[in-house]
Amino acid sequence: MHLVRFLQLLFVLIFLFLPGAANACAVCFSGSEETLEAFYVTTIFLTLLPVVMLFTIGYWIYRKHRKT
Amino acid sequence: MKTTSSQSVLLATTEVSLPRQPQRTKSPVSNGIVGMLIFMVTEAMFFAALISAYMVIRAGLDEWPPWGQPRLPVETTAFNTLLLLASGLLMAYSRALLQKNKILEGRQWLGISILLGTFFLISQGNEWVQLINFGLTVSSSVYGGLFYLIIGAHGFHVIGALTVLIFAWNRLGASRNPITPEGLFPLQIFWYFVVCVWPVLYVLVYLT
Amino acid sequence: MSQEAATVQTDIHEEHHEELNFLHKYILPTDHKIIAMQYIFTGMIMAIIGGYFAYAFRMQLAFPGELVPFYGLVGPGEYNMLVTNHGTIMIFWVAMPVLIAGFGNYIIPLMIGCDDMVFPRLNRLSYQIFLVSALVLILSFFVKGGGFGGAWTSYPPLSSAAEYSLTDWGSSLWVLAVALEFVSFLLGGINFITTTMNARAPGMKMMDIPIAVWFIVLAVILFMASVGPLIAGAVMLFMDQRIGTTFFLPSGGGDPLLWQHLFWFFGHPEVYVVLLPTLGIVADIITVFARKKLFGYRTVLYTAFATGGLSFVVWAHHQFIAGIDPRMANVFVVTTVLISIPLAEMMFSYIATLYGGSIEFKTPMLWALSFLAAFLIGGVTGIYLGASALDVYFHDSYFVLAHFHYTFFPITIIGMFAAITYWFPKMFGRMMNETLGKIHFWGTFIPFNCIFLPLFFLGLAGQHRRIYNYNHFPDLATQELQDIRVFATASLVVMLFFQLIFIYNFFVSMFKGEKAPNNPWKANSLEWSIPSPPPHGNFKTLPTVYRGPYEYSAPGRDLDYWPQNEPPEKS
Repeated sequence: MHLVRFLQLLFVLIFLFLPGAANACAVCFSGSEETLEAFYVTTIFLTLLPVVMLFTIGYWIYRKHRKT
Repeated sequence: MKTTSSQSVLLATTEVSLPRQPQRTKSPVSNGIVGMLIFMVTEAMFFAALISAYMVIRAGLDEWPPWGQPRLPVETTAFNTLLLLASGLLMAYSRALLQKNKILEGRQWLGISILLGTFFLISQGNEWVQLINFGLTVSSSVYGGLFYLIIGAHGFHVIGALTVLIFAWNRLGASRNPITPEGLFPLQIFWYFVVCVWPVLYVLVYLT
Repeated sequence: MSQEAATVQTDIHEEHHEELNFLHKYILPTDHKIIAMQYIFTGMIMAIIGGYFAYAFRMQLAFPGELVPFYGLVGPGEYNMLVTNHGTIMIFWVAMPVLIAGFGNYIIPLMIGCDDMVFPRLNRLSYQIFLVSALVLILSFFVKGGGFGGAWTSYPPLSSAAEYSLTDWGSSLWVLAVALEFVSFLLGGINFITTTMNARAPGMKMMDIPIAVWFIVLAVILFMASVGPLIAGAVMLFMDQRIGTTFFLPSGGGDPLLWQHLFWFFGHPEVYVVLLPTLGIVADIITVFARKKLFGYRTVLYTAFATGGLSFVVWAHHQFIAGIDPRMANVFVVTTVLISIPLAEMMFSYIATLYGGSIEFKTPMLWALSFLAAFLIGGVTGIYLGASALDVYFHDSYFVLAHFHYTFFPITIIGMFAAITYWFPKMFGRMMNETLGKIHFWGTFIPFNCIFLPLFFLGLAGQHRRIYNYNHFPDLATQELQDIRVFATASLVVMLFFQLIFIYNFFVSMFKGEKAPNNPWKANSLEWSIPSPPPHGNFKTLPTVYRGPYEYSAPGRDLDYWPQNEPPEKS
């Protein structure tokens, strides 16, 4: 059981520490570090924002319905 | 759709003429609010995309603002920001008055709130004229393009919100075709959105 | 007060509405049924244009450089324009208006038991903007330089400067048309969500709403939450094209990758936006014709929620070779493969619904079943493309093209035919001819597979997507590959020919078909409890709902269906 957990953790870690620039990617080296970071941040921002907003509004309406 | 004035008449006659009509369960969140909230989600995503664009393009340039481009007037705009925030607060105050059925007082404060919003708009327009004179145009650099895109997008929202609010203000408490406080509320939500998104844009475009 | 008043007022409307004149009934309608028809007919006309474009460029691929009958010579620029606008039209002007706006408008008020959308004038405005957007797109084919040719994804810098795209006004009008179209659906979407949330018939709980309505509403929510970035991107692209900004031009400090982020942030949820309505319509059809309760109503619904949530976190899989960080790509591989789990679960639910049912092979059922079969192929091939290691090889090849046609064709065309043949009796009050319908079905489904199955093999052989004449590429100009191309094109011509049968059947049945009873399919949902076609205002009195929409073959009942509004028998 512990071994399975360990392997799962390892699996996740492998994903995190994969090489930042693969050789197959022809244009990966052109972007500066700041651009990469900006893309990271905006990707996370844009991805989470709709989920958070929809969940909040959905929950608010659900509570309103519950109260009545 | 019938106008609001005829609604009360219809309401009065319904109970008499249609006793056996099954009634829908009343929803606790009105149509206008649901519609406006969904629209706000779309609008928030629109501004989120503009913010993302700003961050990405800015990260790609070494010098910001680019060489030869004027700095933005931080202090004047800070004052504008205060105007807009005050307008938002007054809008909330007028909402509170309207909810207590003090229509005339609420209408008065709503008017002042709209006036502050208009001052914001005029002041921003004045700032734009000066910036254009200093050589910051849409095509002078990507910096100018982003500035006019983001601030302009917000400006369009202010204009749109003010227009509908002025019409609503005109109809509030009018003898013919009046708007109820509940009917006004979605428009006020829109104004809150316009007010709330501005400090974010101000910090992003002017301060960082 | 306003809320109560609004509800009561809409109820009262149907009681004493006046006869409307022609102008207000057909040109400026607020009736959701007329607006739905307008959307469906506009979508079908656009589908004919899109199909014609497909015919022209497929002929060019099969017989490069020869005169195409009924079209003329296809040059390289024109080929790009045809491909671009085929994609744009089929997704934005056929799939969205017919499946979401058209059938959404038609079935949502009828299925949830209300007289109209809650914002009828917003609804009318939505169609008018949509019509303008379609006209702007058509106009863009005729301006100087021709229509836009930078693919439906419209990547800059190719699309953002006239000196690259060679279509100065063509590309600007294209962007304008797309932006207008989104504004139109935005207005329609607000309507759909609010109506379903607030205007349901008394007694209809959340879990009594038919899956078709649920899925259209979910699709609209996804659309509303994802369309903002694309509108922002479209504005920026338009400014780049027309007033000289450089948001997407690296020469002026912009970033072309930014467009891809904004576009695909919308573009991938969009896939699920058009998929969900068809899945919902298919769920309703298979339960009716299998005479069986939907297997796992809640499971199906929750898988749709999961699909919707995940659809926001998969979009970067379109950019595996565009220069995004490979570490980020890994995350998106995982999410992309994850999203196939809820969809697979949904598929299993549908198949379990069919299992043990007494299936009637009527035309709508054939379409619904063929959707399941074809979409399965499309979905399974998507898993290969979702893996970034494979995608590096497959990207922009015909394998991708065949994959998304195996998803989009079932969604758009098969879903559209399923919905039309199923609701035709309700819409026009007459039955469609079954024999012609079945001929049309087989004449569409078999050629469809003959077109796109071979393209998988062309893709595996390395054929790139955006090449207009393979004779210039010795590796791709071999006789075997050319034979496959000719076969695919011939199948397309056969399929287009069979559509004439549908058009004939559609119009003849509309005027001369057998009169349809209220409930020809013996279905449960509310729209079948009223006359066909429904009168203005739909329901004489508001129906009361007592049960879910899928009570077929309920034990201890003589009839094998149990309408939602039938009061329970007193025991």
